[in-house]
Amino acid sequence: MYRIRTYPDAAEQIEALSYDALTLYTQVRAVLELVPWNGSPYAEDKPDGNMRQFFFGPSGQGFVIYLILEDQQLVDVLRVVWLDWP
Amino acid sequence: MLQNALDHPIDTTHFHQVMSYDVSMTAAAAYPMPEPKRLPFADASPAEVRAALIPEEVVEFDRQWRSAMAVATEKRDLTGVYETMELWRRHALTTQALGTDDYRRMLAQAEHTLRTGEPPAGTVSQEEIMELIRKRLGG
Repeated sequence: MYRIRTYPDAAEQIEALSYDALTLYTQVRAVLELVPWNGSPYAEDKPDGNMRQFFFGPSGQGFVIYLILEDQQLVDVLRVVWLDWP
Repeated sequence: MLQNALDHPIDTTHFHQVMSYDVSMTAAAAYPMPEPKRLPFADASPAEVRAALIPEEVVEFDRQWRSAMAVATEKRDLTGVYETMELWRRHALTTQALGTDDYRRMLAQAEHTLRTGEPPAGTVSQEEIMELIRKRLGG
């Protein structure tokens, strides 16, 4: 199981999430602890790249960008975004 | 059902065809599910995506776009073009959502951590963030 560290910017974004979005994010965290490589690679030329992106929410309006430090079994959450658009 | 419909006005642009059916239509047909929202940039053109990227990434976008188009021409298969666009639409969405300054900062933080193994100052531990979430969710 991977341990998750959260960058200060992402921690602020998590604090600002609505109750519903935060509930969904807790489910994403559970996925990242177990299978972080299931996220999409962030760079096309690096399909096995450490930087990944995971979308969540009914319309995929939430996403997490994170790094996997495999040798340390760590996941570093860089940003957590919840889009609120009309 | 009619009263119910009057109490819950529905966008008639999605409704007129259903209303012409027999009165025995099901509730599901009478109250169609709202169309799912489309993410910003979900249908963006290559030019729109390119315009949303930071200049540092435009170079790479141009290179990958040209490469994907060349392969598509050679193989008469657009799969690679679609895949390239899907990835870069996500970059455009992320850039717009974070703003260019924070987007660049995020990339710099990632590069620093991958090079040194060290996260930025103020990084929050697993226990701290779980405590924060527990408090917010009332658990």
